[in-house]
Amino acid sequence: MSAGRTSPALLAAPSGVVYLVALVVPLASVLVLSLQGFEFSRGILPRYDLANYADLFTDPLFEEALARTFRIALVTTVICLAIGVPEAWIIRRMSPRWRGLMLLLVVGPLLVSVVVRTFGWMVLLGTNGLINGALVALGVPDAPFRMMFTEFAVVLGLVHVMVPLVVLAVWASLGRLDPSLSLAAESLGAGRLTIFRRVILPNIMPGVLGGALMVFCLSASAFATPAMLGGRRLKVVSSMAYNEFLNTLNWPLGAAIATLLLAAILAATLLWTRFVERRALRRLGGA
Amino acid sequence: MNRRDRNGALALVFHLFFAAFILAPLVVVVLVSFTDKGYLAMPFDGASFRWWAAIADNPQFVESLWVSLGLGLTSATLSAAIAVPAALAIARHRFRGRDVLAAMLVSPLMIPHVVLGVALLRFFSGFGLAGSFPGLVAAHLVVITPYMLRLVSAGLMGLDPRVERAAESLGADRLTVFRRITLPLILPGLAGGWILAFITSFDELTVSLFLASPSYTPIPVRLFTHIDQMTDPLVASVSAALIAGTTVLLLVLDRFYPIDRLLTGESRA
Amino acid sequence: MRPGYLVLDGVAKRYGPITAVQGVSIEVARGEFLGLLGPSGCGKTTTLQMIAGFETPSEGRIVLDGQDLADTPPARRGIGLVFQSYALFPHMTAAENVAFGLEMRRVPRAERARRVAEALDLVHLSHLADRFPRNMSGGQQQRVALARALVIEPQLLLLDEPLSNLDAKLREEMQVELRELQRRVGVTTILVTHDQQEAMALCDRVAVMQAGRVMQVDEPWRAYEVPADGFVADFLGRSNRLPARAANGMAEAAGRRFALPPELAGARGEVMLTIRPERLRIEPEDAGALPGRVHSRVFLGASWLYRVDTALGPMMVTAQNTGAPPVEEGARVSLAWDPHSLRQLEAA
Repeated sequence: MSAGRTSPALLAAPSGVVYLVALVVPLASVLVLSLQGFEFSRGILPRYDLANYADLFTDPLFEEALARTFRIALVTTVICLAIGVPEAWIIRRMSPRWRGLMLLLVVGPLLVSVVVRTFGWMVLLGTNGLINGALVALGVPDAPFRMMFTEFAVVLGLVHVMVPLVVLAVWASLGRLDPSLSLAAESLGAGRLTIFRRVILPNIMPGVLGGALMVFCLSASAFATPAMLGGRRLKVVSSMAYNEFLNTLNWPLGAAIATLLLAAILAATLLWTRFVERRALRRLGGA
Repeated sequence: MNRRDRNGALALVFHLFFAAFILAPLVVVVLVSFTDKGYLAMPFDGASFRWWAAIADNPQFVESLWVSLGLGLTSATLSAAIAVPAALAIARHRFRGRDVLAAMLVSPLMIPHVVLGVALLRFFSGFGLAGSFPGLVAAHLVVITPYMLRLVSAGLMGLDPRVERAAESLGADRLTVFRRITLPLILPGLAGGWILAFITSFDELTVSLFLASPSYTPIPVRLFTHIDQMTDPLVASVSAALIAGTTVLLLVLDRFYPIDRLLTGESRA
Repeated sequence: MRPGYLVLDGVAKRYGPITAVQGVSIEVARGEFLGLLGPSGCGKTTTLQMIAGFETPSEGRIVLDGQDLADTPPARRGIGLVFQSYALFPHMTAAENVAFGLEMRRVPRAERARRVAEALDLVHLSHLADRFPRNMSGGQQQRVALARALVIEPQLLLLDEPLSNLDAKLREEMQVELRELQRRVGVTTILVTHDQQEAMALCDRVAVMQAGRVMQVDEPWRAYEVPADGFVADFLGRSNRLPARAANGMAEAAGRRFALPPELAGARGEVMLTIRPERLRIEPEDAGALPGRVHSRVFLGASWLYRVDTALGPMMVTAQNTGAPPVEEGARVSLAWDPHSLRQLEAA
């Protein structure tokens, strides 16, 4: 670059300052807060130790919520992959006229607030909701079922929120694919399923794996859907942190929960990119 | 089209179920909003606009709508103002800390929103910013800038730097190159980024939940807390109004900016 | 020595430990058309970028018309640039593209319009003035890029692989046109290319580069006829190698003796001789100096290209297509040549 170019420091300054003030320093302050103590009568105590973390790791309620959070995230991710990957492939193979419309239909709901989408499931899943109404009308034995405030409801709601992300990620990979690949495979005698499994799938693996990681992280940190469909009893880590901050007002404990959640998500990301994605990418000649 | 490039019957049935699954909750919300009952019910045995009219009678919801619109406009615009220079620095310069900057700017995508909310509430309450409009704007900036950055960067990536060099060799100074060449050429990406950032801000619940106050309650927070206390058809009509607004926006948008490019930042489908 | 209008004096460019260009010294006369020729990665484009001002030399000076360019930013060098990708402004019409440089120079509107019209006329594009680049063919875009570079009456015109995105036939047409245009305008021009045909067709002189160094600067035909080394010989066209042992004006190879040209009369010991395929003739089996067997042949329209296997290895031979049937593959033949066609390569 020649002399006298606009300094990159100047260009990076505005975003850098905003992120420093609204991200880096606040995150650091949460970390510090998580080390402090709390008493209802005296508020936040000026002491610094790992007592909050010790409390959490001996608290069966937290352990339960932690296990539930990752169980829900895992199941959600698996279901999203199982239905999202084929759906992207199916839309891809539609005629151009339908393709755009169907993609719009499937990923458009991403732009509608999660609160609205999850409210729809509340209407559908309630004891007097539509699904139970239909089941009763059909004379299904034992209907109505209790579906609201179960892990089933939370997973269903999360799959609905997350699966468009998988479709999108896979769609983007499919767009980068050489269209003559499937023709080549067919000319060599491969059937539809074989073409998908042996030729298409390995090539869109980066999109699939990236989508999987994104869905897992977002599901593990989701707040609105578990809170609305899981109710007050079915706590996940996010709703526990929320509770400590806005109901119990034990901020240091809430900060410790938030810190653990962040650490868990970062660890999952690191492990995933290190052991799963890298291996998959190496097969594709690295990228 | 090639025979094997078409979907079989099984695939189409699968697609049908998939689409039904995606649309069901939204369709149900819209239907329920037309009930004439006082509770959540389908409008088949009695439809009315009663609950749509009720939106106007609830100034809280109307007020929240304005708050969300203002918040979206302000933060999307500010986000563009900080993301464009940052994208330029990353795309056109090699400097120390470039990778750190790039990683930091997209990191909010990885950070749970509850954690962000907790952090900002903790930090901002020390300055009286919690519950204020600037506080909400700052929080939304961090949430939406990664999307903005992705689309602006994609626009820059599609711009041959030699085009800028050509302008420079013809005597244009740096500001002129930006104003006359770079900016017009990344405008589609910038516009797409702005719209996506606006929608993301408009829909944001979790971080706002921590920072909202009675005077500044964005619409998703208003809905969430309302549902927490009671689920009446008013929630359905407000939700249906949001769905309708998003649908119109989406249809208009899709005319000139395909949704897959908007959401993935890819330059072609 | 020609008077130096553009002088590159010991120019080098390093990126960390990697040396892209080293010790490049070239003088270009006013109005000259110079080719920077070499394979990709040889440093020719980096050299061009340094002349244009987008890269700063790590060493050496670049002087244009007596003025050191070190502190002049690209915007003020007054150099016309044409890129391989044309780099047209996609959001401006052809006329707006051409007008841009004049706008930057605050040329009054009326004069601007006149000069844009002239420049477009020069490249025969007056009828497409209001078209956007995306609606033009590659050749048309190429002309707009030329007009845009020429309209500012540059001190120097730099062409970076300007024709390599065009198909073969159009490329030949544009070569003729470019050559005429450069003559007419008289602008000093530097062409960067990897295509030796193009460089030889267009340029007054070529500078052949390899691995960041200039190997030879010469008129094209001289560089072709008297290459400085094996690299230049091979890069400018096909050439055959004859390893031989020289003594007393004669050479011996594979048990055959043949004459050396007078300028090589003094050669002694092991020598590497070279000869161009078009200087070899295919003769009946016993008539020539070097017997061999036709391995394969390729019809090129105007000529035939043969590969003849000999005791000295395979030899490429081009023969004019006279209309007569070609020599059959597998035929036993011999090769003959005029001693004046032999060149000696410096030992590598």
